[in-house]
Amino acid sequence: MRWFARLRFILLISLLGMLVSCTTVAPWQRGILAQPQMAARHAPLQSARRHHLYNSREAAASAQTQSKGGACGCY
Amino acid sequence: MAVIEPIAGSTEPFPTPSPTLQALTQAAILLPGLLLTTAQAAEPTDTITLQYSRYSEAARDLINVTSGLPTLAVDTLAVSGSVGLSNGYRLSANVVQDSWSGATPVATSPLMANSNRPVLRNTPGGVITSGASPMLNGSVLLNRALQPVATAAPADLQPDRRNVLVMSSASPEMRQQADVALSLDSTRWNPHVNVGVSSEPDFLSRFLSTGGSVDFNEQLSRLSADVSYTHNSTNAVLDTEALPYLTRNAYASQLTRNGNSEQLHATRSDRSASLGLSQVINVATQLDLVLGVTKSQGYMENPYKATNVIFIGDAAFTSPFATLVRGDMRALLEQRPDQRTQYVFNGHLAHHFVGLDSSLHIDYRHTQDDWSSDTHTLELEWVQPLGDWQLAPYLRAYRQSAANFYTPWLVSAQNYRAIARNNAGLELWRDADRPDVSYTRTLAGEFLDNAGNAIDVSKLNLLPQWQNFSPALLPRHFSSDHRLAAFDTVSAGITFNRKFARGLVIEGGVEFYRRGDALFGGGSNDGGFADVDAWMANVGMRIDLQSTARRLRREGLQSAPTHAEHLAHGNSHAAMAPASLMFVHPAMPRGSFMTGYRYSTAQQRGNLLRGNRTLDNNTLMQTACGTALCSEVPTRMVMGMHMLDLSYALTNAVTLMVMPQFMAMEMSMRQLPAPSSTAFPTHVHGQGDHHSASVADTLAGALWQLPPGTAHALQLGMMLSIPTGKVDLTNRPSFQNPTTLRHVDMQTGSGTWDLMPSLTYNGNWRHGYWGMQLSGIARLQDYNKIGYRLGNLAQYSTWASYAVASGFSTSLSIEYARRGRTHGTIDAPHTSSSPMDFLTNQGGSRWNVGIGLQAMFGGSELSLEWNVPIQQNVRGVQLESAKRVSVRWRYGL
Repeated sequence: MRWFARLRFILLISLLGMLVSCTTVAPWQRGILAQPQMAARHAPLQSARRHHLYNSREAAASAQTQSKGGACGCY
Repeated sequence: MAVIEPIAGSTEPFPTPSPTLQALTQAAILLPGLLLTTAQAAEPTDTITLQYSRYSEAARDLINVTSGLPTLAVDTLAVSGSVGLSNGYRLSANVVQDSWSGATPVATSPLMANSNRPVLRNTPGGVITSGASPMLNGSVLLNRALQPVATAAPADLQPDRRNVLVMSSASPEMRQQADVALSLDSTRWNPHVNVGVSSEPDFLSRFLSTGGSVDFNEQLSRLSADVSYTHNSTNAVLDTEALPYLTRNAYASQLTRNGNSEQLHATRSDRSASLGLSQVINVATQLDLVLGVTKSQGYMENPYKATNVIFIGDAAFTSPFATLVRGDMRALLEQRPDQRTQYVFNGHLAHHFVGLDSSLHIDYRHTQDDWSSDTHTLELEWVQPLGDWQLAPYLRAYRQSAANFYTPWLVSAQNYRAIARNNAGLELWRDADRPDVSYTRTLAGEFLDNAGNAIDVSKLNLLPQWQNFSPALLPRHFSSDHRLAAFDTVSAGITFNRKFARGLVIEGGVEFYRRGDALFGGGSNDGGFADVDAWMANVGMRIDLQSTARRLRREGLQSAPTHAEHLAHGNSHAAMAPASLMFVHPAMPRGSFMTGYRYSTAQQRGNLLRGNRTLDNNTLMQTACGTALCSEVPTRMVMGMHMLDLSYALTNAVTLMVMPQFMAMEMSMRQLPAPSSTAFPTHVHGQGDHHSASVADTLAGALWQLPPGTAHALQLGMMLSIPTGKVDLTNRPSFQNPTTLRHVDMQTGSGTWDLMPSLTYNGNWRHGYWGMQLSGIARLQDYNKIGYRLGNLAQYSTWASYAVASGFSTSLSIEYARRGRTHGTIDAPHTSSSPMDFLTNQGGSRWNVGIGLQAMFGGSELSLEWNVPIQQNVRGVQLESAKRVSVRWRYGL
């Protein structure tokens, strides 16, 4: 199955390349993208608390490399 | 692939942009880093945020008994800030304090093992079951298929495969984390570095991360990369009460013993890297992708989790007619692999719906690791602005497969401990006086020496040679931690924020979380013994410093001097007062708001005093606990108070105030050396640290400025203390004993409605400021619900400060405080082994002296004071006070 995983990875990279090369949005068309509700972390502190608790109750790794460390989660 | 033409025309999707949208467009053009990726830490504006959150679990289903233990709850306080420095640099900091306590699983066992043993109580109505106590070891009947059965009675031979969590009550624990980040906001290149530390009594984590992002493709694309390193140290004090029943041979080299406790030492390191791409898809859609890997090495176990192993003798089913065997169930500390590599993929798509002016966020995360635990997380969030409000309901679904070493419990075909046998199957014995010489015992009970000759047992001191189980016959790794099982979770919640005109944002949220064995089908088919529901809720306040600074500049040009200007120009009496003083508040113009935060930590350590005299151990033991013998005394106590300070000027002279508090206490104990003729009663405090933390009493009231705004001013304060704190916090249950009330000083409230009057004088001449204050606490009720009433308090303070520079002053203060005796009794089960357990050891008087610094900048005032006692005279026997450090930050909105 390793070849299949590599194929998926190559397809993903190719898709990203297409995204990067095809998009054209002029600076004056970017007002919507700058709106607060479009921010990936529009409530960063709340998001941090939620993910801290998820990390202590579930086995999944966090996608956020920054702010590693934290609690033992020994409960 | 959508391509948006740069020139508006018939294809222009937004022909009539609103003024707000136009402003945002301008902002977007000016923003050096347009895209906010999931990996970006820095906040776009200068902000300070205060937040309180709580996580609370429902009771676990123990099937045939009710736990009776308080359920798990976590309280979290967080303070964070982000300020822009010169040349595009930005400094961000977070301080977080978690405190948690309650019931937590220590192991999993077959229901038939009765590991949650009912606690029985005699009541006037008869014997009742008041809860359950964990029994880590026991026996369980197994059939030939190694399935648990109820009893040997023929009617009960049907296997019962139900499992149950073995619940114990965790001592209250506290965690404190601080981390800072420095980032650079430039037009293209945005590097950052983040460093932090998280500290718990049994766990220390230090972490460092760095990375950056670069914009390209006309700032439509951003590539980001991050690496991090985390080092964790575990120094876990194993449950003293569980030690006799806990097999920990696998960690013998990592254990140290101190008195009757054992500590497990271990380290672990994590190295992570991630690569992210943020891409604008079209004018209303953005995609973020992150690939990450984390390699962990070292101790990844939970030191408080055990796995039950049911040992059956290797000869258990040698007879073909045997139908049942009695297994010897033992709790072994769990053993996880010391390597783990996790891969994570995270995709986030945000799309804006113009007609609704709202955004849909779709998050999907997939992780894989070499523990064979795969996870999938899908989260949908709808972010809807409604005027000054923003609501964001969300739904989250999560699934994970089990780690390959997860097992609720194990069966091992060997004895846990048995008399050693030789190759011929004969028992091996040895002479206690000559351990190097072995003897064998025949099936007939006769003892033989090495030559096979019968010996005279009466002339020797023979003891059996015991042989423990062989770890080689167990799996190399095992854990029954239910968080490594296969399960699903689903949660639904909503977050909100409300913007106010003065740069203030109130935000909060609530979430319901359910863990289930098979919420989406499949699952582990384990009967859902670890299913649980939980609630999370939070509320916070965010202040946009830049917004208020702009307002300050505007007010400075357009109006007469305001309160904000007073602060901005360093012309405030109250701002010059030391940080420890309560109810000294700047005069504010009618209709204005002020917010603030106080933190005060008071430390007691050193000797135990009676009056002002130091007591020796013998005197303490004989006299500090009334007619009983004292067996332990405190060595250190730290009280931390967090207070939110919210005030509103009803008129130019009257200010309304609300001050919610959160208290956290920590105490260390030592045992008194017992004289040889004395047997202390079993103590339940235990050695080491004790923690308490919860929301404390809330203060509300008003201050009158008399007269307002002059160089010499009087302030009259009348505050009410509302008993929102706790007076019924209990110690951890001990075996089958009931819980006992924690002593009065470790409770977070008074339990009574209290009046807190104050009268303050403030004076000012040129660069000098001075003042004095009379204040007190009068209890308005006879007794609280426990049966006691804390003593009244009278306090006098005087201070002087000098502005050494514009907006910066130093202060000197003297304070006298006297607290009366505590009345009433403790009408609840409590311990009587230390001086703090007695109400007679409360109250007294103290003189303090303090030095402080005060600074004012940009509408804020920040004060710091260090305070030490110069004379103290305690009532009864108490630990002497050492110091108090106070920090006060206030901000005019």
